[in-house]
Amino acid sequence: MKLSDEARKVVDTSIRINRVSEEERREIERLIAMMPDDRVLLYKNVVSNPIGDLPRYSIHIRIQHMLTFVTFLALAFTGLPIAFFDHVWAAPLNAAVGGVDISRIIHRTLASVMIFSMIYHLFTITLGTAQKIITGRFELQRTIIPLFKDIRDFRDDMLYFAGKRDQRPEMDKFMYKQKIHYFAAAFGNMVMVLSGSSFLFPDIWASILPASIAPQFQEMMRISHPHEALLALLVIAFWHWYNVHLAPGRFPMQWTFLTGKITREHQMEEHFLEYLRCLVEIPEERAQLYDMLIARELVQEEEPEESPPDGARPGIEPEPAE
Amino acid sequence: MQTPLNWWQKLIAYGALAFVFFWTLFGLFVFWVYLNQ
Repeated sequence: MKLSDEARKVVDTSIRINRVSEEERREIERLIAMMPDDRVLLYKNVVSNPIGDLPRYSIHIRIQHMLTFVTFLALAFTGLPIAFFDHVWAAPLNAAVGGVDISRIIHRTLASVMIFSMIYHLFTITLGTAQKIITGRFELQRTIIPLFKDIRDFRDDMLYFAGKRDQRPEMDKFMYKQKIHYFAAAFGNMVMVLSGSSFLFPDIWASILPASIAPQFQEMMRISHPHEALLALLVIAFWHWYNVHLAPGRFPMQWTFLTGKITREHQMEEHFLEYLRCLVEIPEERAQLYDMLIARELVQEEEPEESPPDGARPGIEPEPAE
Repeated sequence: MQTPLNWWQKLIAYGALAFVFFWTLFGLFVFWVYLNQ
């Protein structure tokens, strides 16, 4: 495989950061040269364990996802019937948890757990990034921060889906879709915390804000809290759950949120640049890929200039000189 | 190509899928009632 400039940069950076020995570097380069240019052949042929092969999320991120996931559903279940209490469907749901007064207490308790999860997440990403910077392992492309490349990836992915490209773009650890989703969730969380706190502590907000806008602020928060909740619920049901349960290759469930691991197949298809880093960082993955390339007869013949100096490789005729 | 799930993995995965399905169904029902209110 002839690496693109971006992929080459990722491999070189990863080799440098991981202080890979010269011998290992040669092994990695040899393996990359053996890979077919058509990446579809790679992820269609590779064998994956559905519960995950390669590391993706730390235990902290998994705990945060679990806390957010459980509290989000329970908050929606207790909150929406409070907001739409006069609707026919809301009364039995409110009654099921012991009435609106009980429901309100549960809702506020769960909200504090969700806020704890947010703070925990902020600590994780701040300290994690600081640690990476100090140890010289920080790579901006490997983070969730949106870059111009994501716009290019989005365009190329749409062209692929429209049949205008043979392969999906080479995307990094977080692809454009995940970045949009992450920041939408972060924005939604902020709206919910801000508006929720204005219901709980109206006096504090009134003392902070100028008297001329405090009533309008309260009114705005009162409108935004249930509607942002409804929006979030729709996004989760029709976008997130599609991506992690129903999308081809993920059905019936993507296990990353439990095991912290991603399947080899998925990594190659949607996060190829991260897969290249895995090849540098995990020797077992190199062995796995090597075996697969040999077993499936996918080894790409080396370029003539990379052949031994005498060019004498059995069974291959030298290219005719022009 | 993915290796097949064993019985407890199937239980978790399809259980989660069923949960998602019923929650979505409930959401659609609530939305329908909301629009017809």
